[in-house]
Amino acid sequence: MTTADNQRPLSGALLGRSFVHPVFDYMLIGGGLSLVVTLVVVARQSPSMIAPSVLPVFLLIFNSAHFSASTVRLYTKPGAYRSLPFLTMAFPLITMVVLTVCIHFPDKMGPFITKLYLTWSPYHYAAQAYGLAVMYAYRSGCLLGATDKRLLWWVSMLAFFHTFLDGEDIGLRWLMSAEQIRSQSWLPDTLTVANTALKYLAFCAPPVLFVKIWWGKSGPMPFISMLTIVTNGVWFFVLSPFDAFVWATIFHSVQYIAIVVIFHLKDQMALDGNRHGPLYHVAGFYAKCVGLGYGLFMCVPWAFQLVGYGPVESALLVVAVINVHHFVVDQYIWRLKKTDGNRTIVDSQSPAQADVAVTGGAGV
Amino acid sequence: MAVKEPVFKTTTYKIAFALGMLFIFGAIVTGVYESLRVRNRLPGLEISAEYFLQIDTLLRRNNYKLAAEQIQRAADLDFPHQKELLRRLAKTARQYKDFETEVAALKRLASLDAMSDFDVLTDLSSALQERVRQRIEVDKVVDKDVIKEAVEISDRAAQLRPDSARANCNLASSLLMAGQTDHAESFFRRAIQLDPNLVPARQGLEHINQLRRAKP
Repeated sequence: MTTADNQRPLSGALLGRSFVHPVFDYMLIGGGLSLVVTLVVVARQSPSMIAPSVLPVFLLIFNSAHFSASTVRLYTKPGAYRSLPFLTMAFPLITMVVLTVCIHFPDKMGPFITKLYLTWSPYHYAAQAYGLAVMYAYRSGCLLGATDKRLLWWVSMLAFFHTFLDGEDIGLRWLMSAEQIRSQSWLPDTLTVANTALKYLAFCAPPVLFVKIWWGKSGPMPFISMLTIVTNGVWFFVLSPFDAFVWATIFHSVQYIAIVVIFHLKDQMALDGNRHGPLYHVAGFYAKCVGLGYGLFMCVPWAFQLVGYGPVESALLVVAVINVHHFVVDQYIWRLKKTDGNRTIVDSQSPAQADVAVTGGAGV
Repeated sequence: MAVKEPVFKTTTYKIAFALGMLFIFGAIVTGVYESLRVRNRLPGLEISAEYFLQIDTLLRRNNYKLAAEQIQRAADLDFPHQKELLRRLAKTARQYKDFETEVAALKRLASLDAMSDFDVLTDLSSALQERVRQRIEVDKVVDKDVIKEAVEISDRAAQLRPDSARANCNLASSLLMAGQTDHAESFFRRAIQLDPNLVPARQGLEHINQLRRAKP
């Protein structure tokens, strides 16, 4: 036990420092709500908890809104144009050019960009879980050492490794066809063993690491840090790959929107000329996200159809390219430099001790 | 002190930004316009349902070629719905007697399940037989490679479910095409044993009898 550890009451250190309220943080940002839903999905043996007629609305208000949230965040973040000129000014045009090229050559470029985004997605979710875990640790006064951070990263990535090895048409099966895998006599069995090992590791490693960190220099880590990693694992290990993508995307979106709104609110309230209350900023930000999400995912494909492209490539490649754009933007907007005002959200009560960036370079 | 960006770089960024925004917001506005023009309503929320609707429209207008191309592309890009799309492609292709496309779709479907899905293999063997018949009718060519493939696929399906009347009947039909009449007869008989009401098996047996009677 360390001096820093002794300064923190144990119950507070384990509960962690919430952004809004422990219930809100644990259920939405930590992913507690997703565990309840996963339990129901598994118990009912069916992902159809949401009526098919309501699902598109769900996808708009969570998924589409979340993808555009990174863009809205990028353009509303004070000083973003100055600090990220390429990303804010040149990248949108590049993205649209790439999208047009993909739609123009759908058979050559389409499968590539689609497999790229589907392979990247689980990494992005795992990185977000890691980022949130580190962020809660820091703001709760658990100053993770380099080794603990590295271990936490590896544990967070277990779900990604599993999807990489097991996913259909993505990851390993993007690099090697099913026939190529079957043709290597040792490979299918090795993959089965590796996936089983990953499954067990994904459920054993977080508590072991939790105890290791507690008894090490870092002191106790809040439960919510572990919860973000465990929930990400549950999405990918408990649910079937298809259900995992559906539910992981929805709950990742909920998590993302919640945290991005907190950062946005903090920025806006700190602006000199601010004359509005929190509700105004939250509602305004979310409305922009939903509006942009609708515009990008549902309207842009029609524009490509107007100039003669097919409905399939127009719709599906817009989804793929926006996903990739979101992943790239996310790599940058969550990097908090020492001068960034948002460091105060992340840092513990004694910020001088925490001078390490909170994110893994991807996700939150 | 802040480092000043070179003027050229800043101007390039500004031009790129203006073009990018014009492109994105122009595409959004144009998209709304196109949806209103074509469908008289705003773009719908469900992405795959939207393109499915448009494929249906193509089929209603008898534009099968473009519809099949679109379903095929969707199967290449919409991985979560890939199996559903390949099944749909096979079904649509059969309706339009495009057995080549049906065979290709079913082969992909079969390979996804490591050639272990009985229904897919049975449909595939049936499609291969139809393809052989079509080639004989249209091109007056007996495609021996396709017949051989039909026998292999039918045999695999029959091995998966030896007690299926349909599988035995399919294997018998493939063997009959391959000229293995005696073998075919035994599988037709087995199919009738398993399902006495199976009309194609009875027709197959009748056909074999006719062939034998026709022989000098």
